[in-house]
Formats: sequence, C-alpha cells, structure tokens
Amino acid sequence: MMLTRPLIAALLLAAAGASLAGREDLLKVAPDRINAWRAVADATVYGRGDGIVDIYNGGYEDYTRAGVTEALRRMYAQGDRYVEVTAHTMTSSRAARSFLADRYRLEMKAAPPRGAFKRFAASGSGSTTAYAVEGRYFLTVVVYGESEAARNQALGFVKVLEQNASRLR
Amino acid sequence: MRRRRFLELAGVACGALALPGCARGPESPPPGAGALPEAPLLPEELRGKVFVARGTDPAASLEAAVDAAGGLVFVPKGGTVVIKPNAAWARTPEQAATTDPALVAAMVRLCLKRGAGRVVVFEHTIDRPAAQVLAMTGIGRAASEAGADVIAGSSESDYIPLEVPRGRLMKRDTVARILRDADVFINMPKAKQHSATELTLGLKNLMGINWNRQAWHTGPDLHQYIADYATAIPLHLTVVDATRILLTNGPKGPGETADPREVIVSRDPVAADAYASTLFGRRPADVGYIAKAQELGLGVGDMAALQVTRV
Repeated sequence: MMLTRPLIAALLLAAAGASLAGREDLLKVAPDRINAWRAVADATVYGRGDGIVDIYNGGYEDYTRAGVTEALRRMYAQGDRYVEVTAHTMTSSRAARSFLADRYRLEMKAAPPRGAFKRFAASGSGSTTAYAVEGRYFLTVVVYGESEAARNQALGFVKVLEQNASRLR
Repeated sequence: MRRRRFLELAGVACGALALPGCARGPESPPPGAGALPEAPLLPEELRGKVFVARGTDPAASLEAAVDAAGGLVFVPKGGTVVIKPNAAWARTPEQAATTDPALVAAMVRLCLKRGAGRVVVFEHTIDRPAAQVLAMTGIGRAASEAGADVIAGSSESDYIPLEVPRGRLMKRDTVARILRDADVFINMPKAKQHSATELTLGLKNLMGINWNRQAWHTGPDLHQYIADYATAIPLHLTVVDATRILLTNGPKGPGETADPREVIVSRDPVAADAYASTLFGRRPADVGYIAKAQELGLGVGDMAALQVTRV
C-alpha cells in the first residue's frame, strides 16, 4: 500500500508529461503562424486517446481504431480566407500510410496510387480537403471552396505541415 | 467566406450571444436547484404521425408541414420556446453538417407569430469558439435577426442535473439550464450520416443539450444512452432538416451530400427519425437508438406503423 501511492503518482505524472509533449509536438506541426496565416484565438482543440472525441465527436472511433493516438485541430485565418487544420499523431508511419490509403478509397472511390503516395485532395459540397502523411503524422486541411484555387491552397498548406512534421522525426 | 462577412456574422453572433455561465445574475438559483418538469408520455393520437413537405423553400416547407401537423398549438401566449438546432460544427450550410439557418429562422418566426414571448436558440457547440461556429453555420445571425436569443452553452455551469428515472442504463445526467425556463422545446436536427451511430437524427441531436458528450461515447452503449436520455426530456416537436443531407464522413464532413429537399415534422420523435432514416436507404431498425427508443415507449419506430402525410 505504501508503495502504491507513489507508483500511481509517478504514472499520472508520466501520463501528464507524455500528453504535454505530444501536444507540443503537434503545435510544432501546426504552429501559431504559417506564413501569413494566423491561428484563430480560442479555436485550438487537442485530444489524446478517447479525448479525441472533443475533435471528432462520434466520428472519433474511426480515428482511434486506425491508430490515431493524439490530434490537434486549429483554424487559421488569412485576409478573407479560413482554413481548418487537423494534425494527428499515429502509432507508426505504417499506420499513417494505411489510414491515408483508406481515406483515398473513401473519398475517391478508387484504389490509391502505387508507390510513394503521400497526399491527395478531394472536393465536394463547398469544400476541399487535402490529406497527407509525414512519418507517423497524418494531416488534413479543409478549405472552404471547390475551385482549382481552393485545391491548390489546400495542397500548398498541407505541404507546409508536412515540412514541419518532417523536422520532428 | 470573406473575412468581412465572417467578422460581420461573428459580430452579430457575439452581440446576440448570451453566455449564461458569465452573465448569470444573483437571482438565479444555485446549480442543482430546480428540475425539468417530468417528460410526459406521448398521447396515443400523436404516435406515428409524420408530416413531410418537399420544396426548394425551406421556410415554406416548414410552414406547410407544421400546419398539416396541427400548428404550434402547444406554444402558450407569452411563453418561452427553446429551439435546439444542430450548430455543433464550424461548417457552412452547403456542407450539410448543420441545420439550415433559413429553417431555424423560419421556426423562430412561426413561434413568435404564434404568440411566444421569448424564443431561445440553444447549442452546445463542439467546435469552438462558439461565436465563430454560430457565425460560420449562419445560425447565429439568422436566428437573432428572426427575433431569437442565441445561447451557446459553453460552460459546465450552463447545465443542471437531470434525473432519468425511465432510463435503462442512464439514471442521471445533465441538461441545459435554459430548458428549466422553457414552456416548449423544439428539436431541429440535421439528417446526416454518423460514423458511430449510422445516422444522426432527432434523438441523437439531444446530445447537444447535455454537458458531457464524451461520457456517452466512451460508455458501454451509446444507442441506449441516447434513447434513455430522451425519456427525460419534455419534447414538443421534432423538425428534421432533410433539405440537404450528408451521406458520408459524418457527423462533421466534409463528405458527399444529397438534396431530398424535405422538411420532416412530427410530435413523435421516434417516428420522425424512423422516416428520416429511409432517406439514406436504411431501415429504422438499422439505427440502434430508434429501436431502443421505441422499446422505451417514446414513439413509433416501425415503418409499417407510421402514418406519413405528404404536403
């Protein structure tokens, strides 16, 4: 009994430390500023484990089942445009690549390209979503528009996130 | 969305947005005091009756369906009406993850026309900040311009304890404090796909008047929680927004959409959901909470027993 309490305290501290470190890593992927884009105040949501429900509500089980362990959502503004970013930490780079392929099948209704496939964009119903992986990070960017410009914007944004994530490997 | 437009909408939303957790006066009772009136059982003559209007004008469809359903006879003169749309996500109306703002505004106007003294549009947004979400959905501005107070329940103190005596799994939870002051409660969900519950319809939309959604999702049976919770909520009307529906990647999307252009009105919350499920090519039995709600006596979930009136 005397050993149990310190052990529990140590485990809680370790869990809190891991959570803090995980959040900090994701904030490096999606920092306060990305070029001319600024994160909207009070719109940042972080979740770990079942806490990912705060980001996806009922959809979160799809993410945790696929191997997402943590996620961070931010909304960015630049001039008259808004972009929603979600950076996910996954159990492994393999899990991240597999999840990207799943998303491709879901969105594009086709088998994903062979080879070094690491990003794609899908448009519909007023928005464009870019998906990408970098190491064990799975990244999504939602742009409010379906035009070619919106697609380029989404893909350009997600490439910056990929670069940021690559520095964490 | 243009920044000026966004800031304008955000301003309207913020201006109209009451934050009860911050603004509560000393006359308010302490948390836990008071309770909701007991949720009555649905009278037999209302069970299974669904009224469906189809058209390109959501407001006109709503009015036609409400008229066919007998009108807002349950709204007392000078009374308080609380409307719960789905405004959980920072999504635009065309993305079909949130209730059409034109439909919410039309409902507000109908209630005021009927003689309601106050109409409140309440949401516990999932994305945040709430003012931004209400602006992006268009609901903040549409509701306030129609004459409603818009309340975002963003603080735990905005909720009071709720007893759920008829629940099988859930015996107590929380509910939005504003419902304690309501004479009438109208549920206005968006019909859409949901990865955890197949579909999100009216009964599922009630999760947004409870504080801790996570506990339901991580609990043993989300469908039973949804059905149980509904037994304790005095609900007068369900209006399902199926003008445009989200078919994939719900509840937030973005995903594929379809345009049934239907507004579904019913006093029977189970019947409303049962009918709405068919728009997705599903049977009501495919959605666990519909069957469980029927088992609890909340309404009719069997399609063969529904009386669908098209107007």
